[in-house]
Amino acid sequence: MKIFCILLSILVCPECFGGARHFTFLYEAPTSAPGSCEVENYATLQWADEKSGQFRHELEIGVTNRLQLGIYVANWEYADHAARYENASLEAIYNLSNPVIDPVGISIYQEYAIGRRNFEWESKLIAQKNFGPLIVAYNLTLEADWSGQDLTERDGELQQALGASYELSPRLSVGLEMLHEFVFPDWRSSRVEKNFFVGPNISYRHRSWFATLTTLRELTSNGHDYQVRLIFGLEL
Amino acid sequence: MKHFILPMTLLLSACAGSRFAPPPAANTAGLSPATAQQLNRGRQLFASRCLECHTLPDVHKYSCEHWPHLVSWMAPRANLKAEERDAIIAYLQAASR
Repeated sequence: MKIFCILLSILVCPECFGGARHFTFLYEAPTSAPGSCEVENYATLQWADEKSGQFRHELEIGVTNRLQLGIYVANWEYADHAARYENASLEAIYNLSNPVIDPVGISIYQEYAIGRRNFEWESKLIAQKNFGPLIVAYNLTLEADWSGQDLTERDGELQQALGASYELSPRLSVGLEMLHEFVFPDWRSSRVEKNFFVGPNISYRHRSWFATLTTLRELTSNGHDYQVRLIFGLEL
Repeated sequence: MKHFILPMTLLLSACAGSRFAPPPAANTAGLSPATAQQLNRGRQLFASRCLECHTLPDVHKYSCEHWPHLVSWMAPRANLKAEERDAIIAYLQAASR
């Protein structure tokens, strides 16, 4: 009952804000204020051999000064003129140090995703330093997923991302994001696929909402694949 | 390249520490322990809670008279309790002197 009351008070809090995002492919070290609650919707469109779109809908809750929880109610994909539900997931971010007053702001991130024939596990180290209006962030991510009838198909991915964002005004930021992926099909290093993306981002926030957009271009394939991600956040 | 990176890192680190959330130590001389504690807490809150919506301004950007109004205006969005808001105001007023 006590836990229910705490959760209810968090959910009905009318004036709190979880925090605006300056990047879409990177996470930032600061966590949401305790008691804050926010909905974040992700849309990622990819232009590779085929066009596809991935969508996520997250409820983000600040639990303590250092802990933040995220519930991804639905992760789904649109491809070949059909929508397909993939999984739901739970993430936790714990902040260890501050990006302004400590030498480096550090947070650790853990996410578990469970679908009908799919299980994913993702760990992340988030580092950030603020130089006044300039934010520099780095993420190191290790991801593993199991899928198929008996979860016998498995893949791994090591990813590093670097981004910089400059706040032109309290409402507007612009920056750059870089993404370096190492995909290990069946966890075999001999079959590793390396992808490198780079592109600009822009973030706008006003009152109870924000929108951040990043366009990335792949520099490692002959086809020069593109992906665009939009995050739209709204306080509850 | 090495000769460029080191001075730039030191310069940026110095800028980050000195203007955007400087320690209140220099301003706490002569204050009671409770006040010094409040100033340190105000600094921690300023560097974490205000950062959720925007990067931190130079503490000297606004005067002692302006900070209470600005912080009170933004406090509901940052979900600050009254004592947290007061600690941030006390810190900013001390640091901006």
